[in-house]
Amino acid sequence: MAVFRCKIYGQHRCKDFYVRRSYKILTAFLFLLFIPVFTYAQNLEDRIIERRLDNGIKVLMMERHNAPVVALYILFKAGSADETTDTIGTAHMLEHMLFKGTDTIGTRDYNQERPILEEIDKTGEALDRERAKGDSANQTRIKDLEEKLKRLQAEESALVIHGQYESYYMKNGARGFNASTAKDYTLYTVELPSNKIELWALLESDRLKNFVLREFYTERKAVLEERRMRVDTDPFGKLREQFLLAAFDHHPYGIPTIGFPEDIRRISVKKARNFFKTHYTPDNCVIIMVGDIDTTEDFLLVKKYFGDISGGPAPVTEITPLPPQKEEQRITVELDAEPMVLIGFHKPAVQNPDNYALDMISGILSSGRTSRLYNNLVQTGIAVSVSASNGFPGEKYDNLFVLSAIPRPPHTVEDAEQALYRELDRLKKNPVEPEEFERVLKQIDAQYIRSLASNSGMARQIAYFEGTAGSWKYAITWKQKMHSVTPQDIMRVAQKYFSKNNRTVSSLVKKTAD
Amino acid sequence: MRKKTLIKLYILIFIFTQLSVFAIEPEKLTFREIQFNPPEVERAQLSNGITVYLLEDHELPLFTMNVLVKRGTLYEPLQKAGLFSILADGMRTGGTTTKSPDYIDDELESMAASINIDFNDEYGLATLETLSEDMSKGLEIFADILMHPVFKEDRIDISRAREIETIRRRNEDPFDIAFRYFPAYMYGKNQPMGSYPEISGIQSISRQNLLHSHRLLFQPDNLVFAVTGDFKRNKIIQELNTFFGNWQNNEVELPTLPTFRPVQTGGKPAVLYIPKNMNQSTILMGYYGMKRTPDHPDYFPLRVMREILGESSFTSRLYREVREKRGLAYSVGSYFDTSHYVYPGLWFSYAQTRSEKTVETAKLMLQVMDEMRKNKISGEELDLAKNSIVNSFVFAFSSSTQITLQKMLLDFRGFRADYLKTYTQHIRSVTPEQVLAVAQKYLDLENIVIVIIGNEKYFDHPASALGTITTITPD
Repeated sequence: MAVFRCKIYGQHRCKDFYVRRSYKILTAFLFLLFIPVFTYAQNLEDRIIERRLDNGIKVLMMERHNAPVVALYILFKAGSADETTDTIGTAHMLEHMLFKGTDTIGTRDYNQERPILEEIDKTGEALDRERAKGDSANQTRIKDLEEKLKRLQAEESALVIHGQYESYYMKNGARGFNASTAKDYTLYTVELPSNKIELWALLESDRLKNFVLREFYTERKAVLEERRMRVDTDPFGKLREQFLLAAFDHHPYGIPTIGFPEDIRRISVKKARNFFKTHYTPDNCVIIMVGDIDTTEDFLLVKKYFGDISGGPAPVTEITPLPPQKEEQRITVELDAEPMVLIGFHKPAVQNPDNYALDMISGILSSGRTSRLYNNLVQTGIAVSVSASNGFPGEKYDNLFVLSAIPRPPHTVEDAEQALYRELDRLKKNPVEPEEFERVLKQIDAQYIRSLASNSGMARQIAYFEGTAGSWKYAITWKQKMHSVTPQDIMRVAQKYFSKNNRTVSSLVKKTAD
Repeated sequence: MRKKTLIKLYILIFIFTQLSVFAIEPEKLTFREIQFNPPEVERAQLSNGITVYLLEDHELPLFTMNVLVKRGTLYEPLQKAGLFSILADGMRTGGTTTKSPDYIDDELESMAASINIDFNDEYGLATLETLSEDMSKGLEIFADILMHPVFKEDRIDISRAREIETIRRRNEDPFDIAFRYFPAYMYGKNQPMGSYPEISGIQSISRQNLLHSHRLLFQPDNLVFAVTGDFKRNKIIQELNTFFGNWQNNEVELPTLPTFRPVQTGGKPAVLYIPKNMNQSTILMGYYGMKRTPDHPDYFPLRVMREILGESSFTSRLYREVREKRGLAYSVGSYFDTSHYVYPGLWFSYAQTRSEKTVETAKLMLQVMDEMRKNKISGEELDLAKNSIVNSFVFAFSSSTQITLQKMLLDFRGFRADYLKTYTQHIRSVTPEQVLAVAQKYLDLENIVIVIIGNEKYFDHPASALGTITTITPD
């Protein structure tokens, strides 16, 4: 789940402040450790109520009344994988921009603001075009346009009420007000006291109907800073980016969600608006409410506010599948950082029947201290940390099964890599013991029950399945199928996907002083 | 006729527009009052005197037990910083007098149960989570781990290796660097609040050290229990007595903690410049904050000031000025620690900006903080901050585990029984004058310590423009 947690990243950092001795290495890999959690099939079907508005918006509701709070999530089944080569970074940029208010919120006078905004868009676009010419760009023109843009921005800024949209949420007690853009979907999240559901309905429907993309070029700078933070100053971020680029040639899963700086500098208001128009359609929208709600009353509330949103049918993004990989790909990323290795095997999308066995394999290999990788790499001193994860960086389309390891000196990345292959070979040759299946299944059951204890946790799970598999009901099938995976399935699937020709290996090696 | 229709249409449109304007004004919404009485936590005692907080919750078949250890890493020997981290890991993984490490791993994972132990500066928490059907089995293992760990050498070796690897990688993340050198400068590296682990220190941690620390921390007098989940009150007390009731106190001698001596910056900001070849600078600036007491008069005004300065994610002044208006950073804000009761905590503002805006951004941050001490906040800002705190307060009670843990920690610190009940009242009574007074007291910009990690070659101005500079090469 290559999710970009937006906006409040800084606060997450702060919480780390007094956990100075934390296991940073392990947490760096948490993003890879996704295990779907739904199991109790009947139970879940009983508890989630699915309805649809006439315009196509899907509404999923789950009542939980132990505290007067509610998680309210809005999912769009569109993410960075739906971009084209000329709009890279737009899904994420749009997500940022939808926090800037509407024609009535965030402005002192929209009628005055609108013509300035139009001028800003035009000037900004002209400036981007000129800058894109590189060496042959007209520097005087660039300077003129920059000055013009600056002047216009100052005029606009005077009309903006900064933070007004957010302040409605904050003063009403919101928590977790945020959004994230993934390859497969985009998610807008908030938790509120349960007497404030109407406020959410109003604010969210208002931004979907009347958003204004104000202060666009200022926010674009903040996004460039976000990229510097996530990629340029983070060795693991860099390694991950290079790894995906190598594994997915000519495929949107290979492109960073945030985009390269060159992409970000070319995102325009027009592109953001087009992305919205094409992809943020009612058909593509899922509203998820978990907590202290009344499924009858609150459905009517949703209908009242979201029912008049119109839009075309959901577009179909057609992504040409990658041709079968013919030979092993290896890349080495030299950085001023300690070594680690990522190994990815191409495998099909979430809907493919082989996916269940692959999910089971990831559990057998890396869930807990009794797992195979922990036993045979960590306990033996080859690595300090290991993980196996199925479904990266998205799951809607063909994706990767990923293994990772941080070697323990004096062992090298090569040692760790060979040890990982030995484990894959075992899977191909020897049937898995029944106890290993049972342990994974019990963990899945327990995780499901625990996920029910959190409104936001449950909402996020529902969103994940909607965004990747197309429906939360996939979770029910998943549970049944997980129980029917056999030792023979594991061997067959391991043989089919874990071959040398099908893998991409990317190692981070420490840069030597030059 | 036509004209009439037009007028009618006009009126209709007018009304429609008015209605729609009315409909989209969040201010006009009214909300029903929330009726909510969080469940009461019961306090009981085991036969050997250990206090137990308990709360039944039958929503889900789950069981959670938190054990508070009333001492934290302040009690680590300075040359062995990181000891409690190895201790925590070693207790979980190193086996007990009667159970092998493998047996414990197998048992816990076949139940999908977990045991975690973690320490901060002033206390530790050991947590057991199981399905309620496995409660007894989980408790048996948990009790054994807490009382009789043996720290098997091969497992301790893994913990040490992991800690060493963390140390070897600690210069990869700029915030890791900042969060090491800022406290080290403020408290002194050879003081409990300023120390951080070193490879030699970790290597020197012996099994004897671990056994000794275990005895120091884990004994009935030093522990409090909190249990929540799907159990019956009498049954759980009985079980806890079975597993823990015979546990007796040891004689231990507590080391005395050194007295706090503030660093002297001599009325001029100190700049700690830490070179790192990156295109983005990490700026962190701050000073001593509060040494908390349960009835500290500054707490509530500060709580409001923090929100306004930089802790509210999207509506704070730092966010607005640095990010929203100027696009100088993605990550920006402030943090004011109020959770230290032994030594004063620290506060700081932070931002990450491109190299060529480093000094400009730092100066802007200083300006935003200065404004906080010069002028009273507006009524609107005050209302926003207060309402935000008051209205989100209900989230502090969204799970029974959280409610119980919270109660245990407040009692440990010695808060009055009505602290939470009167919390929002205290927030509501904060005045702009009080906010100004705490801003002036704590935001000591004359002595502020500014940490900058980045590549000075590309800075807009030399970092020395901000104060007396010290260059540090991170170890």
